Amino acid sequence: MTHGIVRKTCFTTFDGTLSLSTTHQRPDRFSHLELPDTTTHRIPRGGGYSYSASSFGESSLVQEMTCFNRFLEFNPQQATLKLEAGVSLIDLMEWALPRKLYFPVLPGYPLITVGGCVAADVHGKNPYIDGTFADWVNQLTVFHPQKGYQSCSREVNPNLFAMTCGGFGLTGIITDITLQLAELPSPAIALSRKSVHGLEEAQFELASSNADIAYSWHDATAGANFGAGIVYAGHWTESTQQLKPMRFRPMTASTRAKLPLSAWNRVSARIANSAVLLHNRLKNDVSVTGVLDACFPFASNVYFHKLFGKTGLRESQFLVSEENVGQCTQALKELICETSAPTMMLSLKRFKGTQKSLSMSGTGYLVAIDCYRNARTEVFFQRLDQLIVEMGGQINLSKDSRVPPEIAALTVSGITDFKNNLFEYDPQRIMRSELSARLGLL
Amino acid sequence: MTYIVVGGSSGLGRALAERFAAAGCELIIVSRDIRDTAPLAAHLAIKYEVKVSPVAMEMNSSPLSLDAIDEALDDHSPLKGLLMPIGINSDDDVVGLGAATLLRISRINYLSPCQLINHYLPALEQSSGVIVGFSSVATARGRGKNAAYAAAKSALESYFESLAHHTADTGLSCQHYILGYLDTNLAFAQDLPFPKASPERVADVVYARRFSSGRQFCPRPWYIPYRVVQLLPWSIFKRLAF
Ligand SMILES: Cc1cc2nc3c(=O)[nH]c(=O)nc-3n(C[C@H](O)[C@H](O)[C@H](O)COP(=O)(O)OP(=O)(O)OC[C@H]3O[C@@H](n4cnc5c(N)ncnc54)[C@H](O)[C@@H]3O)c2cc1C
Ligand SMILES: NC(=O)c1ccc[n+]([C@@H]2O[C@H](COP(=O)([O-])OP(=O)(O)OC[C@H]3O[C@@H](n4cnc5c(N)ncnc54)[C@H](OP(=O)(O)O)[C@@H]3O)[C@@H](O)[C@H]2O)c1
Repeated sequence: MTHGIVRKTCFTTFDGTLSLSTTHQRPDRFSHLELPDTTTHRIPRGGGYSYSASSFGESSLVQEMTCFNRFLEFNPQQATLKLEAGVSLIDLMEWALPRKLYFPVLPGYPLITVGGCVAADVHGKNPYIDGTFADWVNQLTVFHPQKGYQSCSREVNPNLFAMTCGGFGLTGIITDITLQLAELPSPAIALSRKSVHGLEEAQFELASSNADIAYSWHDATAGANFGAGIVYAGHWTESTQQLKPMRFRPMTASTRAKLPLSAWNRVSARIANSAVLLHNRLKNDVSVTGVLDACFPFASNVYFHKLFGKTGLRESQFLVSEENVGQCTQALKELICETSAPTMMLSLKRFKGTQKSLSMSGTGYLVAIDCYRNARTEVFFQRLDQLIVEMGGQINLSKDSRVPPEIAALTVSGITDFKNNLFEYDPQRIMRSELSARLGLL
Repeated sequence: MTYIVVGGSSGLGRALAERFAAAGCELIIVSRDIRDTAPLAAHLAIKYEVKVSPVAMEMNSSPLSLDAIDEALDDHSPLKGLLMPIGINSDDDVVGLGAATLLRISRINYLSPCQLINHYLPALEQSSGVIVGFSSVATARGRGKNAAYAAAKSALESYFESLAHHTADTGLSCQHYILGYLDTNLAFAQDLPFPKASPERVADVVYARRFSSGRQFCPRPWYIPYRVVQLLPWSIFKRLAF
């Protein structure tokens, strides 16, 4: 079939909980992209930073798009940039910053690709102000083996555009994207850190903040310290000091999992969280950092993820309405304490946006919880699923590799419409992943 | 100063194009599909603000017409270099291979690069320019696999030596690299016994050494297995399956 340029690769989710071996191609020419016959099941892959198996699946050819990473057209008047889907966020930002431009919606790791960001409709550091990634996309080209190259936007082919944003690669391979960039207000960010005693206080701080970057971090270990945390608020600032350029060593799903076992457990999690809180109390309230360091906090700080080792981690991310968030965090606290859940840390972000396809968006608060894995993890996640359903929450499918179909049906508000549209658009469902199989989208 | 990169759409060629563009060189990028060379040209122009022209050309043809490259050159500053990271191999390349595959492998790896050299040599001699060719460690010794590829690359090496001899007293720099495994699509599906070098790293070496002449191993440690294979007694070599 794809003679010479296809191999078998074992893919693992970023959370390390699911691996499988399948065929793998890394096209660097259009002819390669088109080469497999038109009935071969396939799925596009970007940087592979999804926590769920959304970019690989059994018997699906994985087409890794990282060589499709060229800038195609820049319009300085409109501040729009057309680029290929495999461009990484760091390449985009390193090009944009010297031109006094930036992209406002940046998830936390620099090697995530713009194609992966459109497909999962990701969020950045302040979704309440900036919305989600797709809000900044003007146009897409989508390649489907049986339909060819299709251009789409909010005006042209709007159904395909809507399905592709947040569609997890199931409508085809995005080859290029036109992004709307924003003017860079200043070269640095003043990041303030405020200690808080609990989630309610953090929520109040976030609600009253007008910061450009706004999120919180909390100790989520069961016990007296639960909820103690830090609220981060970043404002653009003119820096007088010389900022260090951001340096990082690439972390992938496999380099993240190098440690044979997880170093996180109840004791180490408590010690680490207490150290973070203490360090924050002793440090200056405000520090001036470069834009890249502020946007990609996980680039230079890889220990948190790496210490989960081969055992991996579980993350759940969900959005809950402003009315329900107080009740939800209280119930969450009770659940964690009652089940002695292996939770480590928790984070809150205020959110505003429009839900698209399978993505998580809307108005309310995003809650993210990270757990190390032990016998209690799966039980806790099942109880958490129920809590999210009761609170009318929405689950982020790219952050949780196990969401069962019945829970997805109740917590991904666009799933039924998406399924109907997808089955009409592509009766054979050529694009397939473990995620799409699990959710019954085959 | 303009460099022509033949086989610039992917792999090492693309890394060379990026490296030379980053240094401010104008480029003409040649490969078969304009859908690949045009985006790369746009990318380099946007990123490095240099002039880059894409050219689509099939090198598996005879006679080979270089008019499209010449036309593109008319629009550029004088020619300074010819970089030829073009190459193909084939899973069918074993002794006894079909005539069409044999011809294709010979043309792309050997005959077309020689024709390019011959065509641009006068201009490059005049500009004290640079000619760079790329061979492979597969030339250490003829094996059952990669038979035509190794033969074509060996012939290319020999032509480069003749070129160096012919132009020894001119200002021309001509060099050919004997490359180890690269992390490109040419070797993507191959299960290889040694690690693959990044094409960006090789491109850095080529750029840094562009005004030198002669044969060079890249990455350098490949010299050792290359020589070991050459020195193996026939009684052992014939038993090796690689
Ligand atoms: C350390 C870390 C921090 C993170 N921080 C955030 C955050 O702050 N906010 C947030 O929202 N997310 C965050 N994420 C999650 C991440 O942004 C998403 O999972 C994103 O989709 C990953 O993109 P990727 O390029 O790695 O794509 P992959 O993980 O390879 O693929 C993700 C999905 O995109 C699809 N896809 C990829 N390329 C294409 C293409 N060319 N055409 C069509 N579909 C395509 C795939 O099929 C798959 O469904 C984080 C992840 C990590 C590891
Ligand atoms: N990869 C390795 O492990 C390895 C090892 C030793 C030596 N080498 C040598 O290193 C050089 C670079 O290899 P690479 O790995 O970068 O290979 P590659 O990624 O496959 O690139 C080969 C280039 O040659 C072009 N090309 C092939 N056939 C052509 C044709 N008929 N007409 C015009 N252009 C054609 C290709 O363009 P299109 O296909 O787009 O036309 C492409 O730009 C080659 O000479 C190769 O033999 C490679």
